Order: sequence, then structure tokens, then C-alpha cells
Amino acid sequence: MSNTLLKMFTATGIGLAMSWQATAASIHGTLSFDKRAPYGALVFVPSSSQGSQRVEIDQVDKTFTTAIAVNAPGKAVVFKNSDNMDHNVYANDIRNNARFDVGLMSPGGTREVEASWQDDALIRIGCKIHPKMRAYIANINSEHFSVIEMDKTEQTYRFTLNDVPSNTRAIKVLIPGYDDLELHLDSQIAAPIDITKKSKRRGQITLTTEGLK
Amino acid sequence: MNAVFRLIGTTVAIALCLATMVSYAGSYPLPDATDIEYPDDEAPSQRQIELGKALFFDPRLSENNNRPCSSCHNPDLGFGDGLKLSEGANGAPLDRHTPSLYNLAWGSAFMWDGRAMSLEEQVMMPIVAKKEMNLQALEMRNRLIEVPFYRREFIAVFGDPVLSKDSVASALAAYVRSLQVTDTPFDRYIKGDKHALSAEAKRGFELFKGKANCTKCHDGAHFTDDSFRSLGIDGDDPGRGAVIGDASLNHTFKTPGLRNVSLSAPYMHDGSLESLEAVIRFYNEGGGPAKHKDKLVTKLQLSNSEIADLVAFLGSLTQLEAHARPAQP
Ligand code: HEC
Ligand code: HEC
Repeated sequence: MSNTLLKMFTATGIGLAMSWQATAASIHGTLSFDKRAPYGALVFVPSSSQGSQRVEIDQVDKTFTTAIAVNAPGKAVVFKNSDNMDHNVYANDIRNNARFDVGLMSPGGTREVEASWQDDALIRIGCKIHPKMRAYIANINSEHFSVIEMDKTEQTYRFTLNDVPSNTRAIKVLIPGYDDLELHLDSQIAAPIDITKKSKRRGQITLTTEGLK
Repeated sequence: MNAVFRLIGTTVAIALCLATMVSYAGSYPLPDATDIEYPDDEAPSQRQIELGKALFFDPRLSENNNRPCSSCHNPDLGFGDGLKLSEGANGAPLDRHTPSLYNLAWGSAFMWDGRAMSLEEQVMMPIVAKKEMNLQALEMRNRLIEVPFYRREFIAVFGDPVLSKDSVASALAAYVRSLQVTDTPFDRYIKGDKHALSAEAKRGFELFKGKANCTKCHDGAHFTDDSFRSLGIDGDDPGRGAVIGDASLNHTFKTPGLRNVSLSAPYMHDGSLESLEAVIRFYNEGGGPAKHKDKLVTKLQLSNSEIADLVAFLGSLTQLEAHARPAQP
């Protein structure tokens, strides 16, 4: 139940942090997959100013409570264990310079990790004891983002980024296991763009915008 | 008036709900094919599975043409071989007991120590392992490409005329993923057939979830959370610890799924327990003596009849089927 609620939240949830710019633009997108949809996606407007998101990820019923967490670069990430058994949290993503291991976490435990890894990348975290457990954390400089959790039943997902600066030129799309996408809003806006995994097409993304200058 | 109707409607609805609840014998997650994460995001074709099956039973994949996958993973013995430790290529016993292969389609880490992250990665390991099939990839290809059946099928399934090792792995993994136990007396019981389980097995199911604490590790549709644990079995095998480079996980091994477990005695990573009853008695004593034992493994105070109930429950997770061996192509 709480899981469904969580999904509803994140599916419609958007980066609510308000920007100081006088903004009126919004970006709408549809992601559709040819086969089974992936784990989820993170869509964001890259920005030079830092967001303020602070990530806290808990562990309950042998699952991480957040599927894809968005962290502001430089902020530490907090891990908790509210489960009734021992867990661990680790990452071993050498390409993105993310290697940490909090050791054994007993029920009630809390650990803080310096999130000093590569920006704009989805870092997979896991539990060494329970290989089924996974979640992703991305360090991004952005005030406008949307996390889309996906599941096996749907192949099409929509998102909206509201109140983006009217001079926004690009958005990025990160999907675990897929090739990163950077979409330039001026040139690519009309036609659908391929979403690829190891360079093979796996779906398409279509964008519409309002109020962009 | 309207309200009265609504009241009647609600009462009928509640009554119907109650009726269906009663007809359900229990509630427990069952295998769901749509939960399988295939590498290409969709199930392989039947033809790919059949190709993998031919390879699985083909002795050509071993150096001396005498050690197909099926010589250790024998379908008539629950895809194990009934031995404590299988005999390796050089006649010496292997270091670990040969596990069964059921429902790995839903798995997340493979081998007793979880060193393979996918079945595609796993299936090539025994072929090249010196102690197992001991066949190098190039020699494997040279042998297979001689066979008209393989030349034809690799082109039809993968569009691959060179029989690459990735294609071989993909076919074998597709076959292993197809080994699914989904229709057992237990499944029929959960789906509503109250008579599918004996009274012993029903009591055993309650003990499994309750007093015996088994679902702390053997949970979900396949009765495993894939977690790495030590049951206190003595030995110098570092297990998971060596794979992940973390001494705190030394001597831990993957929690096996329990579907069709009654077919693949003996049990444990070292094959040290000869029957399911021996396994339950082992847990009842609080596991093995070694210091690294998980704290979830404790003495259970089960009576002899409760032990029998648990064995009956594990027996109800069995789906018998005849596996016809394919003719060697
Ligand atoms: C000589 C005996 C032998 C042969 C031949 C053999 N295996 Fe195995 N297999 C084993 C043993 C022993 C293990 C466990 C090894 C370990 O965990 O270190 C194992 C593990 C596995 C696993 C992992 C099971 C799990 O629960 O994680 C799979 C899958 C598997 N084998 C498939 C195959 C396939 C496919 C072949 C043929 C290409 C094959 N095996 C050939 C003995 C054998
Ligand atoms: C702490 C987690 C944990 C608990 C609790 C637990 N198991 Fe296990 N089980 C494991 C692990 C890990 C293994 C493999 C250990 C090894 O080989 O060293 C295993 C192995 C088994 C096997 C052998 C399977 C095979 O293919 O070799 C059976 C049967 C089994 N458990 C049944 C049970 C039952 C019944 C209970 C409850 C009385 C139980 N387990 C409780 C983790 C657990």
C-alpha cells in the first residue's frame, strides 16, 4: 500500500524547487518503450545553480524506500535501516567514481556517505547480503527534474517539468542500463527521438513545450 | 430508496468478498512470469530454448566428450546429480555441491557465492573451468560449427553464422530460464484448492512462516531472498566473502530457492545433509557449530511431528515432470 502511494507520488512528483527567474515555460514528454519498460527514468533540466535536495534512503521489508533518488552534488547521502534484519549499502561503479561500503547496518542503524561521485550519472546502490535490493542515486545540478518509476505493466509514461526558465535549451534523460540522452529543445522538439540501450533502439521520447523563448 | 439499494449493494458486495476469501486457502505470492527480467526485455523464442537444450545435453561441450551440463545437472535428479560432490574432469571431487537449477529465471545472483551476475555470464563458467568441462571457447566453436543442426539453428535464432560464444551463452541461459516450477500442490492450494495439501503440509506451511522462522530468508514466490548467509557449517570455503572482498561475509552462501527441493538431495553448498529431514533437524539444533553463523539461525524447539510437518510442506513444492532428453544433433 505504502509502496503504491510512493509510486503515485514519484510518478507525478516534479522538482518543486522554485526558480528565481521569471518563468512561465513547461516541458511535457512521453516515453514509450517497444518492450518491457526499464526500472525508471530521471528527466531534468541541467542548470548551473545547485539544487538543495538532500537524500535519505531507508530500508524496509528488504527493499530500499526510494527507487531513484536525486541528490545535490556535494551533499551527503543518509542511509537508514528500519528493517528487522541486518543490511548493508554499497556502490561499486568505478566508471563514475562511486565506491563506498557502509559495512553491516543493524536494525535502527544510520550512516552518512559523502556523495563525491560523478555528476549526472545514475549510481546503482545495493545490499551485499540481499542482491535483489537496488536503488539509484544521481548527483545533479538541477531545480527542475522528474523521477519516473516504471513497472512491468505499462510501456508508456508521461512527465511534466513546470516553471522551467523560458530560455531552457536542453533536458537530460537518464535510465539505468540505457544510453544517456541529452535533448536539445530547439532542434529535436518536433520528431520523436529514439531511446537506446547499447545503441539499439528500445523506445521513443516525444516532447512538447509551452512558453519557451 | 436509493440509500436502501446502496445498502443492499454493499451488503451483497461484502458477502461476496467474504465468500471468495473463505474459498482461498491461504495467501502467499506465487511465481509470476511477468516478473522475469530478460536481457532483451522479452522472452526468448521456443526455438532458442530448444537450441539451448540441445547444447545442455551435448557432450561436445566438454573436453573429453563425456561431461555435458546434464551429467552434473541431471533432469531425473532435480537437475542435481545426487552426489555430495560431483566428480570433476580429472576425477577429483569439485569444491562445492552441484545445485539444482529451478526458477533461476527470477534469480539475481548465481553460484553458491553469487559470483555470476547473470545466467549468460554463469553458463560459460563450467565450460571453460579446468575442473569441470575444460573446453576453451575457440575449440567449442570449432566443434559446434561442424554440426549442420547448430549451423542452421544459430543462423535461424541469432542470425549468427560464426557461432559466437555470446550466442552459445544466450541459448544455454534461455534453456536454464525455462526450467520453471510453477504448478505444485502448494500453488493449487494457494489458488483455492483446499484439498491440494495434506493436513501435515498445511501445518508445515504455518510452521515455515511462523515458529520455524524459515521465511526470514526463504521468502517470496520462490522461497528465497537470494541473501548470503552462514548456517554455521564448518569449513574453510570463504564463499561470498571472497567474491565481494568483505571478510564480514566470509563463509556465507546463497540462500537456495526451495521449489522442487525434494528432488535434489543431498543439500547445502558442501552436500553435507543427506535428506530434507536431516536439514530440518539441523535447523532445529540451531544450525552448525561454526562461529560465523547468522544470528537468525537459532534453536527451534520443534517436536518430531512438527519436523515431519515441515518435511511434508517442502514435499508439496514439487512439480514432477518427465524431461525427455533430446537426441544428440
Ligand atoms: C562437473 C559438474 C558440472 C557441470 C558439467 C556443470 N555444472 Fe553447473 N554447477 C556445478 C556446480 C558444482 C555448481 C556450483 C558451483 C559454485 O557455486 O561454485 C554449479 C552451478 C551452476 C549454476 C548456478 C546455480 C545457482 O543456483 O546459482 C548454473 C545456472 C549452472 N551450474 C548451469 C550449468 C550449465 C548450463 C552447464 C553446462 C554448460 C553446467 N552447469 C555444467 C556443477 C556442474
Ligand atoms: C538465515 C537465513 C536462513 C533461514 C532462517 C533458513 N534458511 Fe534454509 N538456507 C539458507 C542458506 C544460506 C542455505 C544454504 C547454506 C549453505 O549451503 O551453506 C539454506 C539451505 C536450505 C536448504 C537446502 C537447499 C539446497 O538445495 O541445498 C533447505 C531445504 C532449507 N534451507 C530449508 C530451510 C527451512 C525449512 C528453514 C526453516 C526451518 C530454513 N531453511 C531457514 C538460509 C536460511
